[in-house]
Amino acid sequence: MSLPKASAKILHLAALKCAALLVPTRQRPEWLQEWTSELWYVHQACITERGPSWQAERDTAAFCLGAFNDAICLRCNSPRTKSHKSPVLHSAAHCVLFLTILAITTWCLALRLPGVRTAVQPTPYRDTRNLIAISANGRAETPVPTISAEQYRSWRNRTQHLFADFAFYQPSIKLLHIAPHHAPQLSVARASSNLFDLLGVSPSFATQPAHDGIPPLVLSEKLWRTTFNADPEIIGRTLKLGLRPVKIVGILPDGSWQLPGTVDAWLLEPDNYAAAIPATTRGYVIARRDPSLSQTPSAGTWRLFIPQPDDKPGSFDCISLADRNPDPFGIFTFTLFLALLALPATTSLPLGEYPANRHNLRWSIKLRRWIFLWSKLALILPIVYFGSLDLAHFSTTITPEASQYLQGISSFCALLFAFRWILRDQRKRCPVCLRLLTNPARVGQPSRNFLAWNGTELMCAGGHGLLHVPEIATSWFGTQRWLYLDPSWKSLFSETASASAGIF
Amino acid sequence: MAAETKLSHTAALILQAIHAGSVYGFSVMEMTGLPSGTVYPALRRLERDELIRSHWEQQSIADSEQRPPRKYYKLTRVGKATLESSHKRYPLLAKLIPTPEGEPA
Repeated sequence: MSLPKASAKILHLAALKCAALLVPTRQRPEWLQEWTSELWYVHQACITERGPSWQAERDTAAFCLGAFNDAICLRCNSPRTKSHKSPVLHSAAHCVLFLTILAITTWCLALRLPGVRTAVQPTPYRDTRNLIAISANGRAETPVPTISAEQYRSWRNRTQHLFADFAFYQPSIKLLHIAPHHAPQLSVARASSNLFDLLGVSPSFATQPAHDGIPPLVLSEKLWRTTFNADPEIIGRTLKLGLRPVKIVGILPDGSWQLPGTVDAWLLEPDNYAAAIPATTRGYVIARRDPSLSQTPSAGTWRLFIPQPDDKPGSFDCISLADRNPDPFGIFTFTLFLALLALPATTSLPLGEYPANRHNLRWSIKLRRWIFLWSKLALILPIVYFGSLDLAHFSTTITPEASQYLQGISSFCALLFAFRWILRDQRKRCPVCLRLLTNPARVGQPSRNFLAWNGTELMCAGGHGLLHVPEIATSWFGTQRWLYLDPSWKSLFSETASASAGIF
Repeated sequence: MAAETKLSHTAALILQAIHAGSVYGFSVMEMTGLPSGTVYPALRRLERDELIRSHWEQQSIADSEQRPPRKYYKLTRVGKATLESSHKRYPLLAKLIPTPEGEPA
């Protein structure tokens, strides 16, 4: 068999196998067997007897494609498919159940994602209003170090009127030699020894650093769990970081590090470290503002002008850590406000006019309609809140700034879409049984709008009435109207639909 | 199923083709000109309605002739009666697909 023939045969068989995937599982082997058998005869009749030709190939391919039609036809006519033809959201109870499941799913996902847990829990730092992240002018949002070691040294050595203390850290990639032939690459921050004291966090299992001249190393909880299998005996061990011996003195719990830079471990350098850093090395600077001073703004980003080591004035952005990590719920509330403002531009706000025989509706039916509307609203809010948090913190590679943008944009879009859906869904439901209306039909002609109306007529499957939605709003028919049907019409509608009237 | 079951023209055409000796899916397609997306589901429906029955050819026979086994279809008694009543409704059916030696359905 030549290669093109063999490959054509493989293709034909692959097409039949793909078609078989559409067939219900129980009937699949039987259908595949018949198709495969028939393919052999089709091949014999078309190619072997008539000889290879474009027409013969086309007939064989048509047979294989026909298998897809067989499968689709079979699936459409299977009793299981027929019984599931009504959409899930048709009934009010199913709609609420679906939204509840969605809310629980997004909430459970939020509990599982470490990024969401970190974002939602309160800040681990002490007195965040007075903890200031200082960065070069216009680069407060940039996740790269911007302050040179020379600047940091000059600030430390100068008499301070504004700040009570400074800490410096500089992430870099280092090899940690754990065992022979086992030296993972880590992002290690060389930090001034007062960093954790300044932030107000304390590592777990922390031991007092011995005065043996070996610099202490603090591991992140993630690194401790993944590389050291959460072994508490690791505390106190001396390892080699690059060429330097370091002593592990503690574990920083997950969520305790919310400053710029991804860090696996912190090497706490002694006080004379600042003097030893090369002048051009750039790092991050955190300062504690003197709480007794009232000259600086208490919130937001503000600019600081300081003489540089070369006596030229330099400007720096200062942002308090309280503003640097805004509350996710605050972002959600802001997007909720924006979505409510934008909603009238996307859909009309009224729920529809129901004037005819309105007084005949029982108060319990009217109340049920409102309860359904508020249930949808109440469920949509947690769905969007947790859903946007899940999306923003799904990957650990997303920077905190990008996460905030992602949460804000996704939350706004989802809220706007959800509110629009809630209103449109409510308008498309029967006010009596709350089922979605069906059988839309075009009524009237636009040219006869003077004496009549034209638009769409929808029907309640339970026989409670007809909804007339005008296509062109006129002064006498401006909004959708409900035409209630009296019980004498019931015989025209199915009993099952009528029985489901009180489902919600 | 009652003998006077109403059949669509396609279903009647397929029954006629089987009666005329096209006893497997591909020959029904060749005889009727219907595509595979129509013939096989129709054969399944006719089988479900007990107008035809099918059986797989013995593997040993297929092996001896170096080909895969085929699935053969045959009209049932009810199928023959239904086809006969369909001839009244579709008089051209027998002319479109004549049975060998004019055998009655």
